Amino acid sequence: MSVMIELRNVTKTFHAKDQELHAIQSVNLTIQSGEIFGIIGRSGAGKSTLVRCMNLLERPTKGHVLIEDQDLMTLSPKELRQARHRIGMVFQHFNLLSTRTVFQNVAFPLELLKRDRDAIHAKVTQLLTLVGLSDKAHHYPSQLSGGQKQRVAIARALATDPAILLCDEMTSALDPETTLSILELIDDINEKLGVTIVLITHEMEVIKEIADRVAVLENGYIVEEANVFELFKAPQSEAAKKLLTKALKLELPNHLKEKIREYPVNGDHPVLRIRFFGDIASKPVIDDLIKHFNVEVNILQGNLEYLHSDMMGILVISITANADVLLQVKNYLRERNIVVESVGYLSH
Amino acid sequence: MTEEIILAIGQTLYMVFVAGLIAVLIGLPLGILLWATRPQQLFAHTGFNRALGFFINALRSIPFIILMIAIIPFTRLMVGTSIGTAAAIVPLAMAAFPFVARVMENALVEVPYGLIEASQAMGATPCQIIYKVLLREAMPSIVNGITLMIVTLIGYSAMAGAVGGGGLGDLAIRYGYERFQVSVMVITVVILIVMVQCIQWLGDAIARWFSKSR
Repeated sequence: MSVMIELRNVTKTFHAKDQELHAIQSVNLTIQSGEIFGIIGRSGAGKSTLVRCMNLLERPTKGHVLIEDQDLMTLSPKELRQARHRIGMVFQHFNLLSTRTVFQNVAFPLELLKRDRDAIHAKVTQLLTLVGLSDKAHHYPSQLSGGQKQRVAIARALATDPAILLCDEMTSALDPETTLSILELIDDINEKLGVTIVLITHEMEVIKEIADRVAVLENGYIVEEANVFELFKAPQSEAAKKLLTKALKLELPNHLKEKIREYPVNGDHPVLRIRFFGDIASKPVIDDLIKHFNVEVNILQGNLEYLHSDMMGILVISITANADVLLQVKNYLRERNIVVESVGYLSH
Repeated sequence: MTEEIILAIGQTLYMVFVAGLIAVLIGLPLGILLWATRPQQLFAHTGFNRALGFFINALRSIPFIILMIAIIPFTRLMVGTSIGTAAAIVPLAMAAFPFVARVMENALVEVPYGLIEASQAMGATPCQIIYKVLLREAMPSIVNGITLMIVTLIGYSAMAGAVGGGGLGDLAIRYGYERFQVSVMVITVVILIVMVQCIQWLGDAIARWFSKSR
């Protein structure tokens, strides 16, 4: 694998009146050719600015942006425009030209390159087939649904045969079902055309669905970078943990949360959150626990997910165990590669 | 009398459309410049933007009747005379082009910034962005603005009588007002109403044609 995108020490500072806003702070990032790379963070974390630094829609205040070993920061405006033909981009609000038909929208980047009519016709037809909109070629954007608009935008971004596709919150304006179909399309494009994909999102669902690796952005810093399975398995940063809790619906319902305290009062049962991955997920862990320690286990909340083909399970359980037994239980689980976290103690 | 009315209609249309055409030819590029030099736009330049904005505002604040008289030397330079229909065109165009420039600027501001960003990401040059994206997307607003300008020019053209420009307004004043021929006054006013209605209808139709796709 070769390196497709490399950000070296990229910093972006905005100056507004008397204030300085540090949108991106010394970001180093390497994205391999053919990868689907996710960048996740809450709104305001600097995600959109970071992705705009990759095609210099935002010029970094400091640092280097290397695309296929070419430093975009050193290019003339003309060379930069040429380099941008290798970098497609898709936006949250589609940004289609409302006065052009679907066909004309997809043809637009080719018109900019002054390709001849036949070449444009062939390419646009092929792309519309790829995104499944052949029958809508002569519709206007206003006649399309959100998902269809995004498909047009994807086709348009691919018109110049880019090596990279930057996706800025591409599914944030879409409903969950449409989101999935768009993500499938992106996965398909990545596989068929070998296009490197950079996905900006605030939704862990999107990352979970198709990303290979992920960077977590907070306050302009990359606070964590991992392959997606590792991130789900053992998130290191607070930001990642928060995003995961939300995505995996790990928040306990309020009526339970209220009953959980930090320190035990006589007769309280400890509450654990356990995560298990891969093979172990198919084994009767809870059953073993009950038999082995002669405890009662109560499942308060549970979630089973698949990351690509790997299974991942998360359970919140309460156990009838005293401090000694609890310690043994924890060790027993950890020996079996299960991640254990204490949540607190459940009062009666 | 009929002949005079027909002649006046011709004069009004001639003055309005030639002045309008000149105003669009000057105002359109100025409007694009006004927009493009705004902060954070393609050719952001605060100083130039402010200077141009001031110049355009200044022209727009001069009452038409005063402008017409004040620029008589300039008119004479341009068309060789300061009297007649041709001479009226110069001040009319002068009054209309700053209006067109502002209309143009506002129409471009309404185009979502995302479209410019998307075009830049596709490697479009600034000229391509203006020509292929902004002007096309803003066309309905531009057409509406030009319709508004033409209707305003019809009103102004009534004052062109002051420099012997003729036209319907002039006819109404000379016969209807000064010679108490109420019927002439009524007829010219009715013709003006019909004319304005037709232009508005045509302008709306063209604007609708440009925006039919949205």
